[in-house]
Amino acid sequence: MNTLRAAWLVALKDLQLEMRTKEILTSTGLFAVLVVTLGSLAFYTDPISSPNVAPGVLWISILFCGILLIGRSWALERENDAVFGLLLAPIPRPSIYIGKTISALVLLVAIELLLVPLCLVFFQIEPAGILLPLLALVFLGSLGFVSTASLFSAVGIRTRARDLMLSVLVFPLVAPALLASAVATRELFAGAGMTEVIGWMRILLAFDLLFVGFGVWVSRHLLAET
Amino acid sequence: MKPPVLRCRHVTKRYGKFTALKDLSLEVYEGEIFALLGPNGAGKSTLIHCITGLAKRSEGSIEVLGFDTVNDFRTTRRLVGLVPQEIGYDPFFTPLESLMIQMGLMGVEPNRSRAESLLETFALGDKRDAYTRTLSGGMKRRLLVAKALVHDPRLLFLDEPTSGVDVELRRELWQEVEDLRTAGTTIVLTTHYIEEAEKLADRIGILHKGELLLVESRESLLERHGGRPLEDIYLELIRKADGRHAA
Ligand SMILES: Nc1ncnc2c1ncn2[C@@H]1O[C@H](COP(=O)(O)OP(=O)(O)O)[C@@H](O)[C@H]1O
Ligand SMILES: [Mg+2]
Repeated sequence: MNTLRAAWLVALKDLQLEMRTKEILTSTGLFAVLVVTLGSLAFYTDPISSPNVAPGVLWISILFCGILLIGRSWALERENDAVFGLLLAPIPRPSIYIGKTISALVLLVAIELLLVPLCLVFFQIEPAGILLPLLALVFLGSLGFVSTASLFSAVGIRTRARDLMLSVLVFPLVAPALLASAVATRELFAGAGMTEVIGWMRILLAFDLLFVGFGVWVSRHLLAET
Repeated sequence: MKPPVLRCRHVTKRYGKFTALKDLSLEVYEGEIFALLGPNGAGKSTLIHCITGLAKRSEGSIEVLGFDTVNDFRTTRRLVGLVPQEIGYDPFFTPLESLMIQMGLMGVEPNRSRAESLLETFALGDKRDAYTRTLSGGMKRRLLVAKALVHDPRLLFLDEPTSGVDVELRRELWQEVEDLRTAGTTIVLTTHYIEEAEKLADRIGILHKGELLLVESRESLLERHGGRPLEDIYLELIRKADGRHAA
């Protein structure tokens, strides 16, 4: 079985499980709504300054939801030693990581489809003309973030100190990508031109390629047999 | 004699500075039931993990039907099945779903009727649509056996499948093991219940502190010791080895 097909099976298993329990989507979804509401209440001043604040609230929500969601997805695997089924299968170890990343990304995007409109409404930002580029920015930012965060949850399969690892290693690693995402979103809200936004997308895409490549490479060792 | 299904040569396994397996060589032959006995911590699970790909040997070679378990892991993992010592399961999938998913992961076409017949075999037919977490411990263990069989392995490892299992279920499990062997599967099992190994196994290996003290057919072992119970022979060997270690 090739790596991508195996990864797809792993992702499918996760998504099937989520369709069953809806645990991650409900808990993370509620959390997202809470963060955005709180953020908009706390930081909203007037329609002029709100486009400056909204990107921060949006990306903080994405960050929190992502961490929550990824941690949960790997915890489910670990809790009942369910991961045995994966480790015994004739599939290369990176495909477990890739599959988990795909399923986490799908779930995060689902949450974001709720989060983004909510943000626009609460901060009174006119969606016309910016919705598509905004979604693209959100997707690109999330991809880089998820692929890195997933990596450090994978460590948890082997070590106890997973949460520590996650915070210590993920945040500095994804910081540049998250900053770029937030700044790009702010520029977009401030009425930046398409060429400028595409420039930001290029940067994010470069980050993504770097993080995904790094993830696949490192996961081979992280998930390796003890 | 038939060619070996499993061939371990000079296998050493270290966890950091601790050596869990020392220069271990072992062959297991087609169609036999091989019982691996040994006290807790002897390295039974470690050996099985090195073969099935959960652990990585430090030295030596391991082949399943001539395929190396590291270089040809895709092939060997299709050939072996493992019922792990710890009960692992997906709590929110039903037994039927678990089997179907495992088929996919093992690289065989998910086949509902085969999954159903496996569940029947392990008396889980009426539980096939229940959440796995609602199953009793014994049922979960039977599901694990079914899961280990979805890809029709040629070599099946049962790592203490009867620990914490009641007498009735234990009998049933051993019957199933016999049936599997009759159907042509080679079986390696570890157990605490030595009298069971005595009844079931064709050959017996005794592992102690990472070293194989003995590998012999059950018949010749019992004969050599004038028909004494296997348990006595086992204890004597372990004590002797302990004495040697202490010295
Ligand atoms: N992942 C591991 N890391 C470190 N030591 C281990 C690990 N797994 C097993 N061991 C050690 O290896 C020895 C053999 O363990 P194991 O193979 O589980 O024994 P058995 O299955 O015969 O009871 C034990 O001393 C155990 O503590
Ligand atoms: Mg063991």
